[in-house]
Amino acid sequence: MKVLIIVPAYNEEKTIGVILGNLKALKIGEIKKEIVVVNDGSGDQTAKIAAKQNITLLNHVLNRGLGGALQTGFAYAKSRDADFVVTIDSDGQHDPKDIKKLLSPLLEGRADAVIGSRMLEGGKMPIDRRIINYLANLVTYLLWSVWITDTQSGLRAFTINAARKIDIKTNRMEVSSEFAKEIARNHFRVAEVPIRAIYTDYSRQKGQKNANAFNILVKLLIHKFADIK
Amino acid sequence: MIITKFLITIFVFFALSRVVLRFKESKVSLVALIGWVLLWSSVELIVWIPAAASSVAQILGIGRGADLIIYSSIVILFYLIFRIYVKFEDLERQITQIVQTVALKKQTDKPAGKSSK
Repeated sequence: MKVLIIVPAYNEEKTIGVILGNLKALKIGEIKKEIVVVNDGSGDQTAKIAAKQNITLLNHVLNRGLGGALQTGFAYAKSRDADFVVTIDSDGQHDPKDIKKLLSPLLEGRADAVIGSRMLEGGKMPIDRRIINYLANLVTYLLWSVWITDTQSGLRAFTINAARKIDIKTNRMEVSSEFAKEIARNHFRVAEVPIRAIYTDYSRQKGQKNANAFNILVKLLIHKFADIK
Repeated sequence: MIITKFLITIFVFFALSRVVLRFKESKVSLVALIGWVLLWSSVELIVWIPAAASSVAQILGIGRGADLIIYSSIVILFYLIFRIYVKFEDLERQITQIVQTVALKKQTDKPAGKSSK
């Protein structure tokens, strides 16, 4: 069995080396892994640092945003002989060891998609993030009738069949809610597992800005009501 | 005043001719053509018979003809902004597809990274 781990990265020279080192060191039983970094038009040393590791590196010539990078990762995954696809942030917010937890509902055949939720174990997320996250979950629920406790989580896992059906259209941060849309559209069985989020000043600075929430909402509405091919 | 009316009429005919030309080139749909013709015809009507706007305004329960024009302009502008936004999103998506194709093409030219346990 094989898992393909997609790591979207934009200007992450400070963290990408450590993340890739940790991912490579990760043992998931007998499951093989292929790490795919999508360098999203970084202007720093991200691509160079990633290229030194023995991983697959996909380079965007222009910055297209998180959604764009994940689209490329999924397009690549569709052509590979993997059994599972995992997405993980490159800002150091996620603990690669949580990937094992994510895969277990898939291995047991209980789910097609698994979301690593930072809300299930509670207490660690900063309060402003918690409120924004809750509102994002609510909007996602109102738009697509799927309740996920952490729609904005970047740590997700899918079976390859589910990954092949996923059709992401948004380019930027709104992609996180779009995964919920795809889960609803394809009637995936979804599971959530608690994960540990490591909040540092760096990851907070790199992650979603609270002020971005309105922009994301407008884009989600456009994608809900306009037919964008 | 009459000069203004003639200038607006010339502009309306210019705008209509552009729409018709773009329709002939199949760059504008029939529905859009009808929409634009209706819009510019009503502009012409209001320019030459201002009382028409007041009558329509009264039917709709809006006080004055001038108010009707402002309200409908705002609605039309909002709609056009929405259309531009959709077009913009569409273009963004197409750019992403190009960037993705280039990234995947470059990758297939190279051997893929090794799988490891």
